[in-house]
Amino acid sequence: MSIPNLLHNMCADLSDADLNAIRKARGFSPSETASRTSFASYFVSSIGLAEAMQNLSAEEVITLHLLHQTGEVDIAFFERLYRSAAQSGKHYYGTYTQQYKPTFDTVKKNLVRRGLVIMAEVKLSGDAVQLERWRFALPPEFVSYLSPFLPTITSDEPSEISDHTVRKKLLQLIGGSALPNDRTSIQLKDGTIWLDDQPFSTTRLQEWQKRAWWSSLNTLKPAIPASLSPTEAVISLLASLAPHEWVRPESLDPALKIYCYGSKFLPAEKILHRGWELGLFSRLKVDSVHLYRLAPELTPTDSISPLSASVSWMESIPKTDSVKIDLRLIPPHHLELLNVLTHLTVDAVRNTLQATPSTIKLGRATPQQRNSPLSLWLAEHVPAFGKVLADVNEKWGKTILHENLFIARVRDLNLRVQLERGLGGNLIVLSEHFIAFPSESRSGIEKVLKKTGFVAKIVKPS
Amino acid sequence: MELQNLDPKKLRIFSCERDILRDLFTYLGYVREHSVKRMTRTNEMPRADSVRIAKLMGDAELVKAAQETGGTQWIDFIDELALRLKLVSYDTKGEYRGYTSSGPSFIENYITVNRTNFQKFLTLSPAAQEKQILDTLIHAKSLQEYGDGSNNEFYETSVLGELDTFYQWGAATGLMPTLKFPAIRQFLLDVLKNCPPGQWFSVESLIANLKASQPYFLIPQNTPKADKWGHAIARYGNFYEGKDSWVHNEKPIPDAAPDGFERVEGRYVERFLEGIPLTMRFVDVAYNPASYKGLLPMHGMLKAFRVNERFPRLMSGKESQPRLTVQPNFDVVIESDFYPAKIIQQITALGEQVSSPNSGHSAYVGIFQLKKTLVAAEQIRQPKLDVIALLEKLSGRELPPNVKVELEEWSGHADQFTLYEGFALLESVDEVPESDKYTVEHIAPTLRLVRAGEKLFSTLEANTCVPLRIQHPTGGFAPLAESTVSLFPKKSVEEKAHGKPKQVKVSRSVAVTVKFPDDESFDSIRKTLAEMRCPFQSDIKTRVISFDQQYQAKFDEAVQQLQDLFIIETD
Repeated sequence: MSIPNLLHNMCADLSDADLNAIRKARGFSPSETASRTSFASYFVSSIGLAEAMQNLSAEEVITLHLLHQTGEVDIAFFERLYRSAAQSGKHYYGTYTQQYKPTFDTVKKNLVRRGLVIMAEVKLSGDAVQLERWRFALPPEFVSYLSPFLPTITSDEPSEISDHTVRKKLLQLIGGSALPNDRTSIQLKDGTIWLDDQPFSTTRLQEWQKRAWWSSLNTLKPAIPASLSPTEAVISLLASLAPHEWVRPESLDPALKIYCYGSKFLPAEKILHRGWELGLFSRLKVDSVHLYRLAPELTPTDSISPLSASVSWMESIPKTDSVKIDLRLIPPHHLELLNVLTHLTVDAVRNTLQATPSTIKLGRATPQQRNSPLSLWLAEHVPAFGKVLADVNEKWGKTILHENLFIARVRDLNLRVQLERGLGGNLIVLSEHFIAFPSESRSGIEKVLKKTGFVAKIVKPS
Repeated sequence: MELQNLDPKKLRIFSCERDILRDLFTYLGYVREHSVKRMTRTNEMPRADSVRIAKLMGDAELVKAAQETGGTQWIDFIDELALRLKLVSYDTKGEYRGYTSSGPSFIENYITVNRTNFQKFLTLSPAAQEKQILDTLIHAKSLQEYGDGSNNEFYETSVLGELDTFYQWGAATGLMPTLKFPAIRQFLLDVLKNCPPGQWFSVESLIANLKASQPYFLIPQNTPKADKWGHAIARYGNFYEGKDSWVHNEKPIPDAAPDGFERVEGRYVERFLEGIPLTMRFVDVAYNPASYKGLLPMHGMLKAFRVNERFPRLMSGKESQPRLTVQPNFDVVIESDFYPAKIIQQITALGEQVSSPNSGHSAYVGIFQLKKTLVAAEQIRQPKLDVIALLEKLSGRELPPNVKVELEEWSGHADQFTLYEGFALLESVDEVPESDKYTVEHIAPTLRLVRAGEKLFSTLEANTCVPLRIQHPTGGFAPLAESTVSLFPKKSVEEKAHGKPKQVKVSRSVAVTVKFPDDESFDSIRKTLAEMRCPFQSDIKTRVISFDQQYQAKFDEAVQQLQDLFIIETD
């Protein structure tokens, strides 16, 4: 059920006592709670929200952040916050109701009757008891009022980023040794770098970094619904930081206890250090303590600024129409672009990666990629590349193969007019007798044909 | 043979409403188009298929029976007939799946149509088709192993019959296996052939006549003295009579019984009449409406029969061709002595049936109306088909001029809309000779309809044509980059469309809300408004009444009506 539907159901079914409690907690006037229908609108407004939020404990704030990320949950979700009748780590032999009744009462008292969380009953098939049928959610309108729960330190000092592991991975292309316990392949095939059987890109590289990080921590995926793995939790928590904000590792621990409820994990310091080694985080040393935040994006925002004449990681090789790439230095987003624009090979003698112009690859690239600073640099410094780029720019967009369309020959003018009227913008007149339309419009075409008494002759490729 | 006429006024008349030939073709049409898998345990037709076939046969009672019981005797009979005619095939033996199986299982037992036999059967004249059915039914053998002895009118009730059968005990022994039923049936059909059609005759007189003139038509005069096991054979040793079919206290009919012929041969004649002749609509029968009180199986309940016109027509051997008339209102009337399947198949491809066909005893009459879309569709299916020539050939005369003109136009409609499915569109500013061998149509100087898009794209790439490959989404056109040269919409057009504020039209209404100070006045006005059928909304808790401004006059009227009780003033 969607959150607006849950809210609607809650407002319709709320007891007068609960309604009065919410009215008091949020400071609604009697006229605002008079109509159940209009109360739903007042409930998600900002009235009294800041005041009601003030009384929340740090754990409650963290839980509500996780609730927002998760969406709709059942009462078991709040066990991480208010516990239940079951003892931690031991099997509970009571019923669902016996286990979660204390949790339910606390949630209702601390969150629902304070007007912060929506609670409504949903229909479930089978023999679900009433407590199993309750669903809880945080209105998205409330999120901006939740106080930040991570103690941060602001600093503009230059930070430390480790790209050692990433470089080691890239150097495998030219014969470098493989990383221990790393099963993801990186290889050069038909002039293209493939990472995990997909064309190399910064997104895929980040995915590999996260996977390698997770496997290095030796943790299991959480078995409890809505709980995150430590890696997912850390990324989610650090993503909420503003620019130049840093966190101490130990300040993540309370949040991790709630986010990763039900699973065992290493101390935040160790988790962050492993992530930093894999290039996922930036590190800053203040008073002999390391602070962390997410590493800058692999595709920086200034990637559109022109490259200087001399680039440390790329060197043109005279008389060969190619450039030599230094995998120890090349920024990953430039390598991604080179992978899209050029034909890549390994010079076995010199143990280097080389890029030569490729008409096919340039033809497949988008205009933005073809006119990127890297492409322009190549055109300027490698004459063969400049020639191919000029040729592609000249021809690009002049030969287009349209697929997944229906083409029809319409000989009857009246029918064509009817079709144009019937389909509007979903029809293109190609010539006096031919039209094109998307596949979903076929039913519309058939309707017009039926109405006008025509029949479609179907031609398929033999 | 002189038979006595009998007035059936006081009898219960029964005639077959089903046209066996038409239903056979309905069944065949269904199993040709659907993949029908018979039931694993019983080898019966599945309920869903039976219901669908019953619906196609157009009989509400059949549909009801199929829905309630999962099948009908009539559909099972047609199903078996198609198998006997070798028009379809399916497994009838099955296999035992294990030592504990109580019966065979029929795994993946699909009904398949024997196309060669079907085409051969279809090309026969309707009368020849009926004759083949008749011949098949006369010579029908049991489909069950060891069932030959009991596969006859003595032991099996006809699909439309209601008379009970003889006790089956010992049916495979004694005289029964020696009887030649095909010859017996043929003999009785020959007897019926000589009966004038349309007249009701007494069955009793038929039996009496047979007793007098052909006493050995069923059981030969000189029966074998012993069966193959050496046991003595009595003439009527296979036939038992009893008071109650549940208790099985039957006793054999004595050979020397003076009314033995009536009790054995007579019962056979009665059961024969409600077998093939009734099923194929050669005869109608009339029963005694009173309940039966004599010894079982029933005897003398089938009182009369009447031979129908179609029987002598079929037996005469004269082939009459179906008659087809095309009328100026585009109706095609088909008349035929027997169901003309082939012509109907040809005409249903061109028109819709507008009248339910005559299923009585007279000739088949069906009316179809020619339809523009069907004619055009058939023209697409068979490009060489000359609809006018076909109809003129079938009707044997020229078509009405207006029909001819319209048909020419309709046939022309076949070529008006051609849909190319699975092709790609190549749009190129420059000449692309590489695409020549992939080109299906030159749409415009810059546009070609091409096949094998992927292969062509690779060829164009290899020839440094720098092609752009656009996979359009199913619901619209993919916007193209600004620098492309194309008829298709560009990104800027899409962005403009998205950037433009969405126009939303709302309807405006003004509501009047009145809050009452006490429950008494609130309830009174509510009741009065409801009496006056004035649309309004009320909230009991807040004592608020809301109504659309257009009903202000009604509200004022309600206030007026209550002026004796309340003086209502609005702030």
